[in-house]
Amino acid sequence: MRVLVVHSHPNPDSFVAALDRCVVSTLSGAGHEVRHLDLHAEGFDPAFSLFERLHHTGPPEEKLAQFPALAHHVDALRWCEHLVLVYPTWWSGLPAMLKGWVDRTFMQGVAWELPAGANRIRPLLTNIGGVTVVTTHGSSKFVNMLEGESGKRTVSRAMRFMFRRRAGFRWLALYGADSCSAATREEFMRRVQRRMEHLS
Amino acid sequence: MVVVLSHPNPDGFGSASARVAVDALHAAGHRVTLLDLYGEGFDPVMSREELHRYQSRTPDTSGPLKRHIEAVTSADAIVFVYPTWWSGLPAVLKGWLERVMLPTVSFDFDGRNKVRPALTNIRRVVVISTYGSPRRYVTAVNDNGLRILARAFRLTCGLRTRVTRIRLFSMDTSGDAGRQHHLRRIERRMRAL
Repeated sequence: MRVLVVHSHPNPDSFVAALDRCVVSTLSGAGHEVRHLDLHAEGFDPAFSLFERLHHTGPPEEKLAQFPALAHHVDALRWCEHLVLVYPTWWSGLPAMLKGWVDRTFMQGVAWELPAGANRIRPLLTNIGGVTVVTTHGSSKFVNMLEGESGKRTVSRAMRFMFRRRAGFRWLALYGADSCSAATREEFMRRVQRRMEHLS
Repeated sequence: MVVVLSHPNPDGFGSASARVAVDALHAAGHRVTLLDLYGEGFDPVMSREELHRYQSRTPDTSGPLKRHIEAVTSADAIVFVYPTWWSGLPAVLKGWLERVMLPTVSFDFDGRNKVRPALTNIRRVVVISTYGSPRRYVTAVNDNGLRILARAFRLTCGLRTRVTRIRLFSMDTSGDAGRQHHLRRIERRMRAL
């Protein structure tokens, strides 16, 4: 399968970065075709700009000509059959870096289109049949329940609605990551690895 | 009062609604600080060094973020003005939360190493947002931006901190009447704050 892995953690020595490496190597080992985007490493700019706002409903070519750095992201989105997001959950949501990646790459003509007269968008990323999230939460599951799991809902609903109808959603989350033991982390890493070995 | 504006277009409707909010707060006799994130080119990316200091609980509160931190720690109310994208906050505003809501600024740790709110000065959180989608769709996907501010962020304020939400749905099709109605609501609610 063609899998796009998007990683968003500023520290390459972090546990999340280790999870990202585990995801990529396991997927490659299992015979999948993998493309990898490391947003911090490539210095991705997450700020949706005035130009993009003004050309919001225009063709993607306009924005890609203005921002050539977005081109390989858009290519990868259109190419993949499965999307894996690897990131730390901050303030119960996606890190700004990853949210900005969604704001900027899920553009008109790539992720959605707005047929004339409609006020509801139609999905275009129907090549994507499933999305998997690998994330860590500093706080406990209980606190995250109180906070409402915004990140989880952003991916499983807002983003997934642009994918194929009934696209799969898999949530692999380590809660209480700030205070858990090394053994718990290793167990989580094994869980991620098993899931990637059996991705279908 | 602090107003945090995150809109890429200074001539757009979002920026206009922030001006209405600021003017109404002024008119009601409040002292207002406007933080125009796009206007000042705020960088939303948490760097490796910053994250390290965050995690070791020794954040830099005297650097370039000082003005933002002082505005927030001295405010009675905080007003967020932003467009909702992909059901959430624009990255610039989300990054502002990540970089400014630091340990010792928005939360602290008690003797048992439990997180405790530190922004108990903030008694009201106001969320002013616009949506391309109709209310039905926003409810179905969940208003995740509002949820981050009304829950995750509010947990760093006092227990009695209330949330006011002023939302304009289907903004692309709601026409001039819908927009004017939205601005009047902002003015009324801000004057009564």
